[in-house]
Amino acid sequence: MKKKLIINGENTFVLSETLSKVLNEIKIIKSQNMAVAVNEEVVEKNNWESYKIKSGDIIEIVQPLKGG
Amino acid sequence: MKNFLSIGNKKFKSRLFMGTSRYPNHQVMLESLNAGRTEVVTVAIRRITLKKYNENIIDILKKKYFILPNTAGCYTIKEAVLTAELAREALKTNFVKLEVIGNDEDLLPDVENLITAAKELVKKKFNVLPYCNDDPIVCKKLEDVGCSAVMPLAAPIGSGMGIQNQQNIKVIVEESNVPVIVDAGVGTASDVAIAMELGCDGVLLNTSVAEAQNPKLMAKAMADAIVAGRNAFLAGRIPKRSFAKNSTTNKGRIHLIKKN
Repeated sequence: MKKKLIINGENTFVLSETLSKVLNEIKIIKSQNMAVAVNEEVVEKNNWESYKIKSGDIIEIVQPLKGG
Repeated sequence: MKNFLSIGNKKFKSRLFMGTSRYPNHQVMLESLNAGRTEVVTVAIRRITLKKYNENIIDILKKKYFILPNTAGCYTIKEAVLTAELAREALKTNFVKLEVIGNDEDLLPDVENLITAAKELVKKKFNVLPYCNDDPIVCKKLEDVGCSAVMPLAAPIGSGMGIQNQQNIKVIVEESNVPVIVDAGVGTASDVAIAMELGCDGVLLNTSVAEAQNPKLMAKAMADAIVAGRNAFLAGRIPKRSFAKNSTTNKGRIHLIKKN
């Protein structure tokens, strides 16, 4: 069954079980400079493989951009 | 003579910190950073755009510069702290330029929330460099909660008005036990020189270079002003007098006899 997540503010429906697989499913090209938080907690890259995603999770995926 | 700027466990030769925003293009940005002889550049942390190519500037920048992430655009303590934590995960750095803004009209710091956010981040082992008001009491409080530097504004972000309250900046410098870096509101090289002459440890700027007609040349001017201002500060200026004082002695001057 599809899970409803909010990813970067957008309603998103996914089948995957883990954070790493969710990122693949929504076609994010993973990079070292990226960072992810689930429900306002940072999930370190080492834990993406094992981190279980559940319906209702709020995910933020960010990267550094030009800034002052 | 103290030649290095030390913040946390880092030592920098350059006292000019530069932002990476608002340049006409990538190439001009890189050339300007080079002309500014900077070592520290700031970046923002933003959501990636889903289903779209996301520009990656960091791989190029981190080869040459120390990357200082900011929490620009954060209005709450929670947003600022989470942004700093995401920055640490993304960039593997404990350094953060902490911004907690009051509103998006004047972009002035919300100092009440800034101090609380700074305290929380220090507890989480961050080196916190807070963008703050040019208020000696606020700067002291930020130092007391453990910030690694204080970054009082010269004038509102992007205004280019230069140091609006030199007296306050002077007091902040005199009372501070951590580096003082003037951040925001610089317009041109003389603003930078004044900050350094007042004894500031460095200057952080962005718009004044990025939006100059010739960003690369302005970056060079800013770097030169840093050096000139710093040297003038170290050299010790003469006191200001409200009367003239001749520089050449009158002794031995010719003295014509007036004829009637």
